[in-house]
Amino acid sequence: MKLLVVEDNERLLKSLADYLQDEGFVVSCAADGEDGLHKATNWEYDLIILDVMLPVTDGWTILQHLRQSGSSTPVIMLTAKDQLADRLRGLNGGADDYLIKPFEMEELVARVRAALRRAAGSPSPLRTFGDVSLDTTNRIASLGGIPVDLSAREFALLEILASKHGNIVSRDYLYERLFDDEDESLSNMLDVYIYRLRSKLGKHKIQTRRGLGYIFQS
Amino acid sequence: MKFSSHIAAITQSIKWRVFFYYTLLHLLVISLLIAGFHTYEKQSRIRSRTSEMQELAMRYMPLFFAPGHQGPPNGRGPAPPPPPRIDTRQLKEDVESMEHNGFFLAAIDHDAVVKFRSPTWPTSLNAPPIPEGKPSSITEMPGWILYSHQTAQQDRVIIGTSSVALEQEVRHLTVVAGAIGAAITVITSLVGMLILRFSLKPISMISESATRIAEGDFSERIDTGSQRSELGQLAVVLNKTFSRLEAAVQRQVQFTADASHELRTPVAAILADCQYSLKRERPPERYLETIEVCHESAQHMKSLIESLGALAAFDSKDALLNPTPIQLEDVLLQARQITEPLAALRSIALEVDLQPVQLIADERQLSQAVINLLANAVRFNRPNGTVSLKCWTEPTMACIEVADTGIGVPHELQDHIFERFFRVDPSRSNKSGGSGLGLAITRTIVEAHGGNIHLTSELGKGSRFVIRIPLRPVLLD
Repeated sequence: MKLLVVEDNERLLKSLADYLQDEGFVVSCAADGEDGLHKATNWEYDLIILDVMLPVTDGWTILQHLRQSGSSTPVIMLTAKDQLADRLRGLNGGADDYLIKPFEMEELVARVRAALRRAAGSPSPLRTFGDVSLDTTNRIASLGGIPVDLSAREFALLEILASKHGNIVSRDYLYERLFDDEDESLSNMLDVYIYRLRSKLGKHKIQTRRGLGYIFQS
Repeated sequence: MKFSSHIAAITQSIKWRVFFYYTLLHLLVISLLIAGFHTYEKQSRIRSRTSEMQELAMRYMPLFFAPGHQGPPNGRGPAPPPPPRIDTRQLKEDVESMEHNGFFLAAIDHDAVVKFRSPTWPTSLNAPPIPEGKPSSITEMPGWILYSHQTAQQDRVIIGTSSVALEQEVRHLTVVAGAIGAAITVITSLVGMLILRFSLKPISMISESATRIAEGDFSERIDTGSQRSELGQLAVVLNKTFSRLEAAVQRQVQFTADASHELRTPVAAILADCQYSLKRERPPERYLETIEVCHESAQHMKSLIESLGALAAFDSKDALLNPTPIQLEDVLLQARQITEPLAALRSIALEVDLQPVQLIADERQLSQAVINLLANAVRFNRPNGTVSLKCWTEPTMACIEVADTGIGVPHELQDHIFERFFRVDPSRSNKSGGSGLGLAITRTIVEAHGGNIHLTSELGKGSRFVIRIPLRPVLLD
């Protein structure tokens, strides 16, 4: 899953990015409102974490632009403002959630996952596809009730494929959501992860559609 | 319990106390009036009766006793005139008509011989004693009034009448007057109560409003009604006080909210990074990074807390100034020295033009005020910019100027720049490293010295702050 974090405190931005990457997300960063708005409107993200007080363009303006342009990307606002009026302004302006600084990272991650689940139309953290089940909260996949040992990125790949269950997922789509800009990923990195998933879950679960991408079927 | 508290509420209530004393006083006055009326009425009736009796006595006297009758004959002098001839038939008729009118009569000569006595004379009633040296006397006895008239020879005619009817009449009149008095008392008490309630209404309104304010609703105000009345004026004064209180509380709330807002971001950074590092084992350099995050954030919070403390001390008047004679240019040179490293870091030139100025001021505080200005001038300057520090004297003022070649302050924000936590760019807090309180502290210090601070600024060209402080201290409070 690919997240955009817009936060002007560079220390906090880096800590957030590190933590979220550790949780298996692919994270893009923006340190001011202009950069944030540019990235949010020109790239596709699964969720945006948005600070309110930003140089150049503030968080509210970015949110307004996004919603006016028809984007339905979930947005979680982060802010040091704890007045009711500010919270209402954020939520009524189209934000999906609101977190007041300082916050617990575990809570932020839980809210990010919850917003992603709601956006995918399935609020339950447990999803089952035939004999494969995914616990998206604890990042555990099971095959026929027996947990399968997956790395964070393998689980992330499976999660993306499962979220588009029965549909073809392009390689570009997967690349964007699995690898950072900084990752010196070679184009065969994706093949490596697909190979590993197939060997752990069974070859027929992930089928290749040549020139189009992959399809996950239970 | 409830009943006794009701009693206590009534006995202690101004309204009920005034009402009680007012009614009591009213009753007293009415009672005195009725008593006076009773006495006057009775006396005047007795007087009119006695004047009637006197008339009767004068009329009958010559019938029984000849005028000029000289008492017992002593054989010498002229012979006594013959006793008056009494027309007994006429007398009888007269006396009967008199008796019919409730009077009775007795004629007693100087030998105490009763010459005549009405048949209606009450048997239990004796003749009154002979009045000494007076021709007439009025004797009041229970139930009777007697009028006695005597000649020089002590021959007496006594007219009497019953006073029972008279007393009864007076009593009746008094009862009627008492009833009227009672009615008046009740009516005036009720009217008095209404007037009291009406005039004390502002007090109960003030008390209700004050109660709501005490419960925390600071927006509550008293309905002042007529502002000319004493209570209306009190309400106006109280409302003004409440407004100032509300504003003070509002400022305090805003200040606390701002302070907590400023502390939130550094705490968020510490939390996020610590939670990342503690989640699982990280390479040593990542731990080092976490420590740096903590250190920087803690430094930022420290400066914020120090600034807040300084302002709070000024607010509570704890930070008393310690004015001593100082050489202003020396203080400014020290301030420049302290700012030098920061300026060097950002390649900013610090220029000084200091004239000797002698001044009575708190050296440490004044130095802090100037350091805040210099730090801002460096922070918000352009790269390779200049900061100039000057001082000079005007007739009664010491002047300090700090000017920079920085970004300047937009005209519409210049009024707000000295407010606490105000920032031209709200998000600059993290990069500039300031607490957002520097200018507020500077202004507080300058004003505590009885001086003032002004900003002139042009966007993109720079800002110029001028502090003016009286040469002789006009220390506030």
